Amino acid sequence: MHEPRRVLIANRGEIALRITRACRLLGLHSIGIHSEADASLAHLRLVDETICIGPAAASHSYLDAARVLRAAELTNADIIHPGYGFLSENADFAEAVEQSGRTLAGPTAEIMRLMGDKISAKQQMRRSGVPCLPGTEDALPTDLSEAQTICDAIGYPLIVKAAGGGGGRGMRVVMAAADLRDAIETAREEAGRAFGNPSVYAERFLQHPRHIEVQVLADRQGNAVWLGARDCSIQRRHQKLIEEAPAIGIAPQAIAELGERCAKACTLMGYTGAGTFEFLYEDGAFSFIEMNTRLQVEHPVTEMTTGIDIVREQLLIAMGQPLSFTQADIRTEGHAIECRINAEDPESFRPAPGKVLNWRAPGGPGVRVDTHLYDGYVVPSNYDSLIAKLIVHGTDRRDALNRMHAALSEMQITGIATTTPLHLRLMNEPGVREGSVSVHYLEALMRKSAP
Amino acid sequence: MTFLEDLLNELPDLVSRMRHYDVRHVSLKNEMGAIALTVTATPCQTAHGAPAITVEDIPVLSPEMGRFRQNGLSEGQTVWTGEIIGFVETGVLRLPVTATTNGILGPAEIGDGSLVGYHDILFRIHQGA
Repeated sequence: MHEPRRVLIANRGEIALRITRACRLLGLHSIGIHSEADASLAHLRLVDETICIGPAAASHSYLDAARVLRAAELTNADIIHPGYGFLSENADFAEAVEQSGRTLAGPTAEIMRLMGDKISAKQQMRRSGVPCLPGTEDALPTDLSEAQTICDAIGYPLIVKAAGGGGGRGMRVVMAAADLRDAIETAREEAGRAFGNPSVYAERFLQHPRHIEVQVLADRQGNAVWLGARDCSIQRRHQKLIEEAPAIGIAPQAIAELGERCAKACTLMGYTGAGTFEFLYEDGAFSFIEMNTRLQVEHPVTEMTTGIDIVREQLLIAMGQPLSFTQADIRTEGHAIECRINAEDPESFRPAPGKVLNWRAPGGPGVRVDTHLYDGYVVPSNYDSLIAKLIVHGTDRRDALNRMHAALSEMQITGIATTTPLHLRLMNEPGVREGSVSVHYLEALMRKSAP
Repeated sequence: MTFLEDLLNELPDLVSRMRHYDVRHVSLKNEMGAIALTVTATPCQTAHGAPAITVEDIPVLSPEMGRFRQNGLSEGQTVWTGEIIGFVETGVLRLPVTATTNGILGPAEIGDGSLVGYHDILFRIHQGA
């Protein structure tokens, strides 16, 4: 049988370079695709083959499933690694890849659809014994007194959300039973206007949760493992800025129990590849938010603490190989932290594309930099502003924080604004030093320090 | 109309199909006689008097990602704006590559049947002919 060995990397930037390195490690033939604006990307010098697939606009290049598939066909790719973002969680793309006889480094289109729909994902999690927020299974009934009975049983505070929506519209937080009817009516009206679907559902509202997530790997033979938990609570507008592993202040036994449930859920649904179960954590309880059916930006902190190369494993799974280790072989050691270095103003977070004049990478024990930067590289304005990930590994959290501070001070990126000054400041903030902050921590801190 | 006349009328279409399916040689035989047709894969690369590339060389870009096909033109030949100088096959489509200026055609930058990316340079046309 033909062994799949030709990998098309359907992404750009640091993650394309990360995937290229994994291909080279495994001796696989790598194919780099790029847009017209990206001909000078770092990974294109390392891959075996390159092809420009379209103009700068992502909608006509990296997000254009037909172009990516045509590139795969023209280059005879066996495997498509989608990285994160772009087409990585697009079930229609996954289906088209399957129909073309190729393999996507990820789960099947069917699983992507199941986990992509908020209600079906939650139902699947409940069936698998993964903890979810108390809430309605379906849309709230139109009869307000019936809805009131259901919501009283959920408990307050709760949040009424549009079933077909997102982006904060059709959403109302209800602090007490007396405010429920008004909230349902206004949320329904808003949801109807915004999404053409007035149905709303309700779930418990957590006020100061932490964001905790579990990394999983599952092969095509039905084996699934969990690789520890990450804490990604330092966020701004739902964008993670700092991630770490393990999650401190939570009993390892509780994490292990959660991890086992996630791995079991993977086996039950027939999940394949790398994935992440995201949870909110408050008052000692985990509540499932969503599953990311792809590689995540913050995967390196798990790699640093477990010693497992997640991207290598993804490729081996896509090649049809079984996992080479079991849950019993997985150990986590020390503490790892990742800072996302974005080409953004560190105060306003406005994108700051442009030419990087000088790039000096930090080094030393336990320091890893995942980046596509080089002197003279021009950060285009067309894509995400992530330009580097600085990752450190220390013996414990305090050691990791100190190493991160030293590495941030050593790192130099001139020519464009980056989030480095903010990270440097955060490394000395009492909340960050102490840890276990909630998802609202960073925004509250920024508000406090705003002029 | 004779068999040969019929065939000559169909020749452009036949050549185009041969290029499309990468057929290099066709021979036909009947009681009247025989005819053989050979399509060169790449136009003659050894044409004399090919001009050196200068700032006046205007690049001709690939309109899409696909496979490049020559149109039987030779290096050093005079071409006119809008003249079809090659094709890019992309899926079921065969997109014409047209000269962007009047001038002398430089050598093809990419071999016949090779993979081309979006806006890759296919030819340069030397202006000031």
